[in-house]
Amino acid sequence: MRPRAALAWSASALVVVLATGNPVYRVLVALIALNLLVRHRPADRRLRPLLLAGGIAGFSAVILNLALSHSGGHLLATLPQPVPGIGGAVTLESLANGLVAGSGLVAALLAVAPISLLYEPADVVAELPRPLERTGVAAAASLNLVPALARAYTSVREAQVMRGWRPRGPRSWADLLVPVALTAVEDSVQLAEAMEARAFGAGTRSRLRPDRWTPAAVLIAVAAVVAAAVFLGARFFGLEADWYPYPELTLPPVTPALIVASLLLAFPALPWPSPRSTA
Amino acid sequence: MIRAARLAAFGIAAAAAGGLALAAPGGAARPVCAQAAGAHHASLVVEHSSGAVLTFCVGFDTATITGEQVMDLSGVEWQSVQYSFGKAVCQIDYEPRTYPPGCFTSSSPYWAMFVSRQGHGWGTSNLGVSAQTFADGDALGWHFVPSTGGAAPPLINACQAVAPPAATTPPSRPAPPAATGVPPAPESPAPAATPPEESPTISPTISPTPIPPASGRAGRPPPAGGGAGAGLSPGWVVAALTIGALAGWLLLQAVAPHIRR
Repeated sequence: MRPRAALAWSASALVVVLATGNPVYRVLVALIALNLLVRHRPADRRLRPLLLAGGIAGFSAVILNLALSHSGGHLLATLPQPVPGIGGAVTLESLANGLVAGSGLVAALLAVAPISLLYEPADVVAELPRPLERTGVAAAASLNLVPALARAYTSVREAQVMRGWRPRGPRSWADLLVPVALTAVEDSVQLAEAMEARAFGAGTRSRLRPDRWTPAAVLIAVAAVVAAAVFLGARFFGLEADWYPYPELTLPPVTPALIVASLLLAFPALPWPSPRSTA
Repeated sequence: MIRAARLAAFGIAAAAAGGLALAAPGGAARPVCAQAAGAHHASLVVEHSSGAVLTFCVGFDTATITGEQVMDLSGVEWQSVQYSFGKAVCQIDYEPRTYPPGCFTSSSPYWAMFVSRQGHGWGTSNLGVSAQTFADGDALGWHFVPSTGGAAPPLINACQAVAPPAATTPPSRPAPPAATGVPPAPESPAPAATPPEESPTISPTISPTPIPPASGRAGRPPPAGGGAGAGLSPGWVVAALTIGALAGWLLLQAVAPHIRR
């Protein structure tokens, strides 16, 4: 799948997730995204950290809803009220509401995961529209300095400890922070010089293998955008109302047409003849 | 403005619909509610988003009753969420079918509350539904309006408009959603928790009087679909098959490389 098709796909999938409060469509998008990730994942990229992050986000949403939302008709338990807001009824409806919120978080995370898992940052930045190109490069370079900053902190701390430094209150931390800040500034200057040496900001850009719109990439992008447009239209015209588990838990209504629209996102997950070279 | 309209749903005066003076059918004359036992009578008018209107006449013996008691005595289905400053009305007569845990969001429609005194025009309330009091001849009005606000319901003297036979005829209660058939939510308000010296005589004349809206649409909100008791809809069958196929395809992709080894 080409980077620009992946960008269009991720943006559209995110719109679908945010345009509906129905957990059925969110689960569909999450499953499609997982299929896509498993199919196109490079061998050296692991999915476990992503799944762990999604699991933590979903679990947190469930716990927060159980603790803070006390409405609903089906009582599961009653918490004591020593802490205001936490104590009270724990209901099946609040559990369902937590699961719905968690499904939204997980689906949104999986929708944008292809951008970070399947491509190098340079590939993604290169696909930004020209007005955003310099901003994108600056943001990417800044984010790239964060792990360097962590490495610098570790190095400086180890060096200081070897010199007999021990943490003794807030004032002693200056012995670490000052060298780390100076290292960060030095790294930034070096990065700026390297970028300037590579003609950053010269107004022209060239790529060894420029990304082009292939028929498969067009199909993926158009299908994804149509899916997002269908969900936005359904919401705008009132065909798809928000669903909540209150006051009593019922199954959310499901429209076959929106299932079909969701499946438009599944094109890149299908077994194309040679997906990485054609899509 | 939206926030102010929200406050109207809590019965806290802020919305700007106060000047809606719709003339009562009987003018300012005192209502005659022969259909509901009790020394005093109050009207309840509920206007759905579809335009359909339900009216109820409630009889009571005390000098005044609260809005919450009016709702309870009328027998109309309603749900609320308790806030520190009173109850927020989330659902009346099963509209909306579902609502968020906080009752409504910044963009969702809501039940706007109106109060009429002695047959005069609707005004907003400076108290919540559980604190606002109603005396003989007063009326409580609700209109399910968009988040941007809306007009008051039509001012109808329900105690005057009901035909005499309705006194003994069981009211046609709105059917609960076909989804679950479970008992009402616990926060469904109970009748007055601490009634005054004398308990109000619960003798409402529940006289739903659907008034055809201008557009001619049905007054009842759509029945709940997809509930456990309603059976699986075609949409759910398609969804289950699709989710099963995607999960199966995912499993196949994840397991296939290990099998090849």
